[in-house]
Amino acid sequence: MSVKANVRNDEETIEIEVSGRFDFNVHREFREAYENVDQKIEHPKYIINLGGTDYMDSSALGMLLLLREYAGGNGANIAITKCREEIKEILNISNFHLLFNVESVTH
Amino acid sequence: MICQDGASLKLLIADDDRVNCRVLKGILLKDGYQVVVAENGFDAVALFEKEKPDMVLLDVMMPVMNGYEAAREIKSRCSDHFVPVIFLTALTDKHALSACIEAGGDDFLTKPYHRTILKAKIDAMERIRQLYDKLQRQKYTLESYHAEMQREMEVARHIFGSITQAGEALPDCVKSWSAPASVLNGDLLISGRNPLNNLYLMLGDFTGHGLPAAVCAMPAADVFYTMTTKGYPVSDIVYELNKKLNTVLPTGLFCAGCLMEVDLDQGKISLWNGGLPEVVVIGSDGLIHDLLPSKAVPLGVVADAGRHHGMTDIDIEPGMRLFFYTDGLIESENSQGEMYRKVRLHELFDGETEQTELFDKILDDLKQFRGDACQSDDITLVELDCDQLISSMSVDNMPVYSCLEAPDCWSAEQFISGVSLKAADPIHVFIRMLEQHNIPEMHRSRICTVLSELISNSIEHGLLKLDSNIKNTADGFSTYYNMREKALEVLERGWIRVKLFCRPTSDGWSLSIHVEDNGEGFDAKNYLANVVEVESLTGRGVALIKSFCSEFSYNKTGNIARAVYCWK
Repeated sequence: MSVKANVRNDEETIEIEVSGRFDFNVHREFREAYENVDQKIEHPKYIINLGGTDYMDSSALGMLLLLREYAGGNGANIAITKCREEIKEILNISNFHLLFNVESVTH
Repeated sequence: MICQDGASLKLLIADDDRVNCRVLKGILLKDGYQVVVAENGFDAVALFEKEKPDMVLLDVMMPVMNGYEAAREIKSRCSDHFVPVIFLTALTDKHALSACIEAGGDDFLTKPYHRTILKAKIDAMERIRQLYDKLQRQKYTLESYHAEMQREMEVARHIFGSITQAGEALPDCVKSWSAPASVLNGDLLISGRNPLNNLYLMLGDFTGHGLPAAVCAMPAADVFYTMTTKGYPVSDIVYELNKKLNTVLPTGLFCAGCLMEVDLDQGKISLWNGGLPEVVVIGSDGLIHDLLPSKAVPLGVVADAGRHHGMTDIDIEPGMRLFFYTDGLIESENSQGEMYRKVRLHELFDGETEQTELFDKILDDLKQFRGDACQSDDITLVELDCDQLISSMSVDNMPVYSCLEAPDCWSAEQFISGVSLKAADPIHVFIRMLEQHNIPEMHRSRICTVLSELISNSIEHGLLKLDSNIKNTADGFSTYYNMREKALEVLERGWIRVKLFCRPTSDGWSLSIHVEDNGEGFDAKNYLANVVEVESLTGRGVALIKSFCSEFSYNKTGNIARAVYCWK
């Protein structure tokens, strides 16, 4: 499991990639990822790439909400991308599609 | 005179007087008989052996061997064949004549004889001989039928025995008494274990008794064992049994039965009763706590009885015993033709008898009631002692990892305590296990989510007693996980046990997940009823588990969670 963060070439999008398992074990890594990546961007867009995520649990959902709060709450611009069906399902059960821009895997 | 097979009768005559002999032979030949002639008793015996005549006519006074002796010899060589011996004699004194009969003669004719009388005697004797032959043939036929039936019964008993005892012997916690009404028992009591080691019992009562009933018991036992080993639940076994018996049994034959699975982990017994008398549930006080009546039609009556029909779940209480029996028990009659009846049986559970003596008390009472009246139906009485079952199953607290593999199902148990609990990441092991068992990725992912939720609950709330509310702010969220880490560091005597049990269902698979911890439990009721706000940082686990699993519950204490995940 790992969390990787980087800034895209457009200099305003921060992409965070979670591979393997997305559960409480990565809470620190996940938080550090967006807190440390780049402080200079004023209103960054976030892309959470879950293409490599095996599974997620409710603490991962909590982490996503924390990021949302950090990024400005209702004004945050966060897309959760490359979700496999079962990952999307978990987000939907918790109505996260109302809070985030959830994108499925594009075939 | 013609024999039954169409050939003329063959007569052996023995007389030392040649003239007599020739006259007699002439008469007999004229009457259509075949005639063989001997000059004395000795020759007569030899000719008897050689010619195998149908009847013998003997003179009494003859040289070398007289008629009496010859008659004895001839009769002794007949074995179970009847060859009439008629004495032809000039003697007329009573003693001499009765000596003829004593020597084995069947009749006598005094000389000089009249031709018509001679023929009448021979004809009468021949009738008796034919009657005897017929009886003899019937006796042989009956004997061979009987021998064949005995042989077949033996074969049936052997096959019946090896099929019905194919599983393990009944465990010690099951007491049973069975009295067949004939050689073969139409009552069937068998037990099995599924891969989780849960005990399964089946008591079946086939209509009628003896061979037909016993023969029907075989396919039933076969289905029961096969499905138990594969770990199917009782409702599925009942469904298949019904289907099978409906196919193989002739109309009018069916099986009243009771099946149960004892699940000690869940503390419950899943029971199906179709056509047997009420199952009696006895509490620790020795009184009847519950009566579980038949809720379904017996097995084999209708083509499709539907799944999950007539199932009852009962919670296992300390000191609980189950008594179940076939109707032969309460329908036993005494010599006055009165029946034993259910009421009399139920009165025995008066709360004043030692629990361990209840079983014998019933048998004694039945014996006393019945006296020497004969038994007309098979009787079986069974007692299940739940306490004894529990004590025989108690697991020691050793780390266990087992992976039993039956053809279509598997189970695994992971016991994590002490340092392992702090260091190891239990989910990891299960991910690998799920991969090994080829569970499709999509389901694996969901199962991992459920496992992760359940294990987190056990560790965080069950063992560490953390308050989820701490997580409600951004800082709190981190604080919570830091607290978790620290609390886990200092945790003593904590363990969690995770059991997975995967089995086929009628239309796919089901995975039972059991997560247990040795904490004091938590308010599961409140937890399960919790509804969360969209933006709340906590409390989403329940919703996830509920939406993925067909069943999700906690025990009363709140330290054992059980969830069932199904897929097709």
